[in-house]
Amino acid sequence: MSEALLEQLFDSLTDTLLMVGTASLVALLLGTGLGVVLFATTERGLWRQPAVSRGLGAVVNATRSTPFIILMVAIIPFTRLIAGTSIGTGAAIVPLAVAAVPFFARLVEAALREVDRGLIEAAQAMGATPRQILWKVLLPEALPSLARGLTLTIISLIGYSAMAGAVGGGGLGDLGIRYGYQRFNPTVMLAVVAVLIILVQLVQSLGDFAARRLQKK
Amino acid sequence: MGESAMIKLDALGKRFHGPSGLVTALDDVSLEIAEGEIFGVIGRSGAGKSTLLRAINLLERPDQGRVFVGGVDLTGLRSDALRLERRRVGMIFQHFNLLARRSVYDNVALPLELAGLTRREIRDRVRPLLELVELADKADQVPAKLSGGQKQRVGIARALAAEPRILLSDEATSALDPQTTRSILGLLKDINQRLGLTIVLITHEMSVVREICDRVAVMDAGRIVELGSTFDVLTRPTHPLAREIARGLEPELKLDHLFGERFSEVPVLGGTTLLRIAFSGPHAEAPVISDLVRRFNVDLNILSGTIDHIQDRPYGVMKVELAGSVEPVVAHLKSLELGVEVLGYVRSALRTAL
Repeated sequence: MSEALLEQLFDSLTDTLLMVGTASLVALLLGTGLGVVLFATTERGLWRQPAVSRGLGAVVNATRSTPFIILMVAIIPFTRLIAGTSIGTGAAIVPLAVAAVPFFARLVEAALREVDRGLIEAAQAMGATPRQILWKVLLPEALPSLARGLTLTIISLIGYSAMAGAVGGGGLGDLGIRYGYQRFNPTVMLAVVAVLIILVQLVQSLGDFAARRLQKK
Repeated sequence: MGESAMIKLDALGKRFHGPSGLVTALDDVSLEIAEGEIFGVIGRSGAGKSTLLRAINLLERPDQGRVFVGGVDLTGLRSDALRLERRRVGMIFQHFNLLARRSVYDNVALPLELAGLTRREIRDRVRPLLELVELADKADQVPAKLSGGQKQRVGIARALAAEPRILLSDEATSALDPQTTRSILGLLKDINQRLGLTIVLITHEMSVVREICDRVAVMDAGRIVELGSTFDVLTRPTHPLAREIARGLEPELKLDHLFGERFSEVPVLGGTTLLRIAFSGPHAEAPVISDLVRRFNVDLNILSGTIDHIQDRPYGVMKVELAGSVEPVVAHLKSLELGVEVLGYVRSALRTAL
């Protein structure tokens, strides 16, 4: 592999990390909030709002059932609004975040649902407000699950980011397609795949480690 | 009681939509519990005990009726005022409901954190509580490292942290072995006496009621079918369910197994009579049996006998086979205020090989 290719591999990795990292951060912030709302507004939730719950649920499901490549193209006007352009690595972050937020939100909702209802009851018996129940009981107790959910989200984002090339987003996937596939350069393809495998492995191990540490058992 | 009742439930009603239609959990339940009392509610699962207990702190809001705690009508309160009142009612649970990611210390501290106390104030409250439940050395452990009994002790310390006037116990010993159950009940009794805490507990085990309750209510299908002092309900139950639950404490004697085909539900000529004699009241400790034999010239064969203390009063149950004239014996026993019941009859003479 030539010096130039190695450099390109490095640049692509940086692009991937930038896209995945930023989208993950957005997913963590907005997805957690959305997940909490999804959890809390259900029929038996802390802020019972069945209409809100159903409405948000429908939007989340719609986003999640749209294939990422289509989602990316479909929301180009929105991307342009946020990023100022619809082309490039920065612009690719927008659809990645849009896909990741509802994905992570569902995982947050599931993690909160896993928390023993008895703990909520105990907190209510202590006179806790819904806000206190959320911050003192639900989120802390769900932390190990949330860590696993975030890991899964990041790994999914690494996969999605490979499609960012479709909007000139760069990144490892784009490199693999352009050099490895279109120019038929198996060395590049292999190198890209190897880097992706290592990256995913690394994220998974870190996530498992964090979840174990948070479990405290 | 009246004005001084710590807890007053007034005509509570509650229905649920269950899988097989509408379920009545509370059916016009009224009850007063005095300050400092240990009050038990016993019944089968689904009898409404859990709903009744949760009505006291309105975790389960009844469809009808009113709940007074310390004279305050909780059912009329707004949610923020209700939350303040709830802090004065501690609660412990069958499955402990401890936060897995908090240490023992931090679990006990939780209600105080919620109430907005400072770290120093919290420490000054939590330390003595951990001493009280004998877990001071486990303060930094997480619950997963504790035994069931220790977990429940943490639960008790946590429930006491906000200095409540009432402690609600939801089957708190049902997940524990008999020995641990005994030690937890001992702790509850101790707390009741030392702090003057009113305790309401629900259980399906009569042994728990016998151990610590002053009074007990028996529930069936959302209604209180029997209510009285533990001694009275255990020794003189009137409702069939109360009787069944109370008898559950006695050693089981399968009469049809014991006597086979000779056992009969109806009197038989020349046969013997099986009696259950309950010793309570003023003559509980008198030598009744030998007196019977002398006085009525009958033969008595003792099949089983137990003696027990309920609320520090002796209570014995004896099952005997009696050969001879029954009526005067029964009349005599009744005159001594002993409980007598005919269990059945046995054909042919007194068994000699027993």
